[in-house]
Amino acid sequence: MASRSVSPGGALLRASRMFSMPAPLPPPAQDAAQATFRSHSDTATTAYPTHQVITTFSHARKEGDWGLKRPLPLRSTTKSSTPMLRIKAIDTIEQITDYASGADHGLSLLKFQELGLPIVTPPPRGAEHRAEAAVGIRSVFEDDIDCTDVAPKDRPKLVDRRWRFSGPWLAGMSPGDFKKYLAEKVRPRRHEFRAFLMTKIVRDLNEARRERALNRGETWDESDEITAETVPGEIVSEFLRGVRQQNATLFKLVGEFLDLAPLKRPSELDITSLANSFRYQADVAHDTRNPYAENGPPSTHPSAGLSYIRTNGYMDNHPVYGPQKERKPVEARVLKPRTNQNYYAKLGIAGFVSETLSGDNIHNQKSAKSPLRQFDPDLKGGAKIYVHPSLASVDSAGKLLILVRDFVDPEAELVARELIGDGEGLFGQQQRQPVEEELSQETLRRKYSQKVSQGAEDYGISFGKVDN
Amino acid sequence: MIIRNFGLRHGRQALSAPPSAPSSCLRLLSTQKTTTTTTTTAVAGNQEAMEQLAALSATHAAREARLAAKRQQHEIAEMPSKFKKFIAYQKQTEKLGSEVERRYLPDEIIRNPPHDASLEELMAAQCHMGHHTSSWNPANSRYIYGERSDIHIISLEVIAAHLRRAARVVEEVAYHGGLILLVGNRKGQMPIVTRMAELAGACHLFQKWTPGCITNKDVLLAGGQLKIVNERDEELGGFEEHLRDCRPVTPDLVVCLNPLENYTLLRECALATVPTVGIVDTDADPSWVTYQIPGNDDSLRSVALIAGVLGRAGERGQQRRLEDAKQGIVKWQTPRDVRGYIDKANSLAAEEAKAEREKRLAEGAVDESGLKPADLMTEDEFLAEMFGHGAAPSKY
Repeated sequence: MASRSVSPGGALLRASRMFSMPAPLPPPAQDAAQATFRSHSDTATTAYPTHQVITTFSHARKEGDWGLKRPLPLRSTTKSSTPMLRIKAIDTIEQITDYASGADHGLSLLKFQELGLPIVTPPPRGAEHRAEAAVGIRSVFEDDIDCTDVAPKDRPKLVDRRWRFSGPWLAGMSPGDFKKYLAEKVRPRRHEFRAFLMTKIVRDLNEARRERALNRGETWDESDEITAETVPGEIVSEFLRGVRQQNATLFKLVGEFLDLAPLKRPSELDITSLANSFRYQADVAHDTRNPYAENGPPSTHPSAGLSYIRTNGYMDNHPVYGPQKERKPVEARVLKPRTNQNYYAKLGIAGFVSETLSGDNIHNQKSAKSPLRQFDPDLKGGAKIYVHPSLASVDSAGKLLILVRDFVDPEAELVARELIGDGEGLFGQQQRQPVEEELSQETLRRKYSQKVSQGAEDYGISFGKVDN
Repeated sequence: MIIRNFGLRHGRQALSAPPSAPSSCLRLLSTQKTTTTTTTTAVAGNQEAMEQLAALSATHAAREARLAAKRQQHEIAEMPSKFKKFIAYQKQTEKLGSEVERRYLPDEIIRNPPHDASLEELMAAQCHMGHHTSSWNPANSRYIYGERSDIHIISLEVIAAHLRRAARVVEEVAYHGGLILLVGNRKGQMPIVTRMAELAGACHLFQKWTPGCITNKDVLLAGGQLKIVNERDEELGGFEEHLRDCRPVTPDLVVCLNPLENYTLLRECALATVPTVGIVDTDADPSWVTYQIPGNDDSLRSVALIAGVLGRAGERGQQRRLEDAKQGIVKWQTPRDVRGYIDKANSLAAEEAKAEREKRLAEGAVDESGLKPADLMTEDEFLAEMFGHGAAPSKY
C-alpha cells in the first residue's frame, strides 16, 4: 500500500515524539471492592498505566522544557528525584498544560525490569497458586502464538495462534453487555450473515457434488457448479434447520462471521460441574489450543511491553562468587498474612501484589514461625520475606500476575542479602569491624570541611551500615 | 643412540632450559641497588683490621655516591629528549578515542543563535504547537496544518517561510539605518530580548509598554537622551542646540514576541505607520502585526529560536551597513529635521561669514580687488610663467 505523500514538514511532524504519544487508554474498571466507598482511593496506583510517561534531560528540566507547548512550572517539576510526568492535555481552554506525576508506573516498570522475568501466557484458572502451574505455559513471544500480521481471509484458519480478535470474548461479557452487543452489533448484520451462510452452503454443495462426480468417473467443469441463485431452496432450509440443532457448528460459523475470541471451558472443574459433567460434553467441540481462550484475550500485546525476555533460563553472575545456581531472590513485603478466610498470603513484589503458593512448602509449614502466618505489630516497617519470582503474565484486564516459586535457597538468600549489605557473609563480616580512623588534626579538618549534605544518610537511610 | 634423532631428543631440553646469560644480564641492568654486605665480624683488639675495614667501606661509599651523581646527571641530560618524545606521543594520541558531543544545551540557542532555522530546528523548538482547538482565531487557518491531541499544529513550512521574510525585513531595516525596538514582556523572555537586541544593535523592552510612548511621545519621552551619529556610528558634535529642541524618536520597526499582551503598542505602531513583526499563535489576531510569524509564543525555546534568527538578521544588516559606510556608500537619508537644522546652521554660518567679510572690507583690511591669475597657479606653473616654459626644472 503506497502511503500518501506528505510535505517535508508533515513527514517530520509524523515522526516527531509528540505525534508518537499514544492516545490514553480507558481507565481500568474498578472491581466491586474498590467501588465501595471505604476502600476507594483516588491516589492508588491503577492496575495499568493509561497515559504515556515522559521525562526530560536535567538541564532542560531546569528551564521547564519538556518539549511541550509551554514550559512547565519549575516548583512542581524540578524537585522530584524521579522526573516522570504523564501529560493529560498539552493545552486546555484555560491555557494551561494539564500534567501529573507519572513516577508511580515509571518506577514500577523499572522495578519490574530489575526482576528480569519473562512474560508468559496466563496460567489455567485457579492454577496460579500451584508450583506446577508453570509447566504448560510458554513465552508470549513464541512464533506460533504471537501472530500479529494476519490477512482477513486467514483469520478463521489462525484462530489458535492469534491474540487479537475484532469480536468480543463472550465468556467475559456481562448479560447487559451481551444484550447490548446483540442489539447494536449483531442484529444489523442479519442479511450479511445470511449471505455468509449461503456462500458456505454453496461451497459445501459444490465440493460434495464434485467429489461424487469424480468418484463416478464423470467429468466436472465450472459450468456444473451451482451458485447462490441456483441453489435449491429446500437445501438451504434443511441446512439452517440442521445447524440450529448443532451448537458446535453454529458457534463455529458465528465465531468465524463475527471474529469472536475463542472460548474454552475452565480447566479447573469444581464438584458441582463434575457431578453434571454431561452438560459440558458439547463443549468438547469448542476446544481450542489458543492460550487465551480460557481467561480471555489480552487487550494489548500479551507482553504489555513490560518485558521482552523469552525465558527465565539464565544464570546470575556474582562479582565474587561467580555464576550462581539460583537467581537472586527478592525481598517481598507481606501485605496481608494468611487468615482463615484467605488461604493465600498477599505479598508485594516490586510494587505488584502477588499471592503465595499452595501445597507443601516452607511458607505453609505450621511449625515454622513464618511472618506469613501471623501479623507482628511490633515489627518496624512490616514483615518482609525473600521470595523467588519465576514468571509473570498479564491477564485480559491488564493486571500483572507474578508467579512465585515455592522454595528459596538459603544460600541464594544469603548472597542476595550480602549484596545489599545485610548479610553475614564475607562482606558482612568485614563491615562488622569498621576501621577506626586515626584522630589526627588532618582527619579532623577533613571531617569538618566536607560538604554539608552526606546524601541518603541525612535522611536516615543507611545502606547496609551496622549501627554500633 | 641414533645420531639423527639427537637433535629431536635433546634439542627440546636444550631449548627449554632457562637461558642463563640473559637473566644475568637483566640482573646487571636492574636499577635496584644490591645491598652491600660488609663484614662486621671484628675481632676484639684487632685495631688494624678494623681501620682497614673502615677505610674500605669509606671508599666504597664514596664510589657509590659518585655513581649516583653520574646517574642523576645522565637522567637530567636525558630529560629534554624524553620530554620531546612525550609531547610527540601526546600529539599522536590526542585524537584517539571518541568525542562525547552534547547535542542540546538550553542556553546555546540564546548565546549562539542560528542564521536560519531549519524545519527540524523549528520542530525541536516546539514552534509548531498551537493552542487548544477551541481557542483558535479562524484568521490563522491558513497557517494551520492540522490538529493533534486537541491542539492546532502550525505548518513548519509556513513558519520557516514567514520567519525568513521577517528576517529579511529586519535585515534591510538595519541596513538602512533604521531604529529597531524589540519587545518581549512575558516571564522568562528577558534574556532572549536583551541578547537579540545586543546582536541586532536594537533597543529592547522586557517590561510593560507605557501606553502613549509613540502617540504621546512629546510628553512621555521629553528629556530623553539623544545623539547624532554619522554613517560610521561616530557621535557628531555641534548638534547640542538641535538635540535640546528636537522631538523624541519613533522606532522604524517594532518586533513583538508576544502580540497578545501588547495590543496598545501594536495599535500605536499602526497609527504611527510603524511596521511591526510579531509571533502569531493560533489564538492571536494576525492583523495586529504587519509581518506575521506564525508559531508558538508560549514556549521559551520557540521564542528564543525565532528571536535569535531575527537578531542574527539584524546583526547581518548592521554589519553590511558599516562595511558599506567605510566605502562611502550610505543608503539612508538624514532625517528631515536634522537636515533642516544643518541647512539652517550652514546658512547662518554663511551669513555670519559674509557679515564679517563686509565688516573687514569696510575696515579696509582686505584687498577686494579680486584674485590675480597667479593666486590660482601651482608652484610649478608659477615658476614656468616666471622663467619661461623651457626653463622649468624637470620633476624627474
